[in-house]
Amino acid sequence: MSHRQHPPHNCKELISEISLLLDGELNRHAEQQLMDEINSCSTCKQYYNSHAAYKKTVSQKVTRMSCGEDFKDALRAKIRGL
Amino acid sequence: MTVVSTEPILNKEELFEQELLPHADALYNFAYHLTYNEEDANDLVQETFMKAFRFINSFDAGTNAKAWLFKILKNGFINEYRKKKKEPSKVDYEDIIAYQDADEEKGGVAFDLREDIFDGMMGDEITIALNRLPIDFKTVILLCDIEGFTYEEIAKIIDIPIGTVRSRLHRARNMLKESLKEYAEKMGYKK
Repeated sequence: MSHRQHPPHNCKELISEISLLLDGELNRHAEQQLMDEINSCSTCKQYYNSHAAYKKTVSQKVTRMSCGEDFKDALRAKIRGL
Repeated sequence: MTVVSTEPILNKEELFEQELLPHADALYNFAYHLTYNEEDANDLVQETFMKAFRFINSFDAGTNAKAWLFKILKNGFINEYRKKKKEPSKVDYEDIIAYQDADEEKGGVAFDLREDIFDGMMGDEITIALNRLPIDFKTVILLCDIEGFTYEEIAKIIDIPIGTVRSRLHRARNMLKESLKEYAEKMGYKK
């Protein structure tokens, strides 16, 4: 991540890294460095807030389907029969 | 010196019960969103567990059982369901390029979405928008945003390079956001 210490702030480049940050793909040092830069730019901050809201909404609101205990019991019975 | 493991040695049934079965609901959810059909999802999950049990000796206890099961399920889905339905086995790359160009021209749709728009959205609308995405795009969102797999795990599950996981996720999310933006505008949200 040291390449971002010197070049001028580039929103487009930073925005692609915000996904890495919110997906947990950066180490703690890189996260902190990126957060400092995000907080210094209103455009990047707006994108960060929007993408964080997107992640939270999709993970929490998309309908989650469950197979149920009967299905699991049927699987247990099937493997015992193999 | 020989290191003796203190971990109990599990038999096949115990390994199945402890390491594999706890992922049944997550697998079923993935299968349902892939097939959009409860019966097909049931069959796919059942086949996945039967296959996993047959090959359980090749599974190292304590390693990532969830990713292993998801890979088996994904392969089963491609081999059986997509072949039956005669769908293309890959994303149509002309569509991707056309979409990418449009995306670049707009400068990224994501800028337009205020965070409070997401708060006001209903789960049904988001689920419908997600299920309408082309299968390869829907898959990466399910694996990353719903199941929380890392890019490396996703790359292994769907057999694509990590760089492709990143670019596909970016495009998939923009497609989903575009769809949600249209919905939000219909519901009267202002930019």
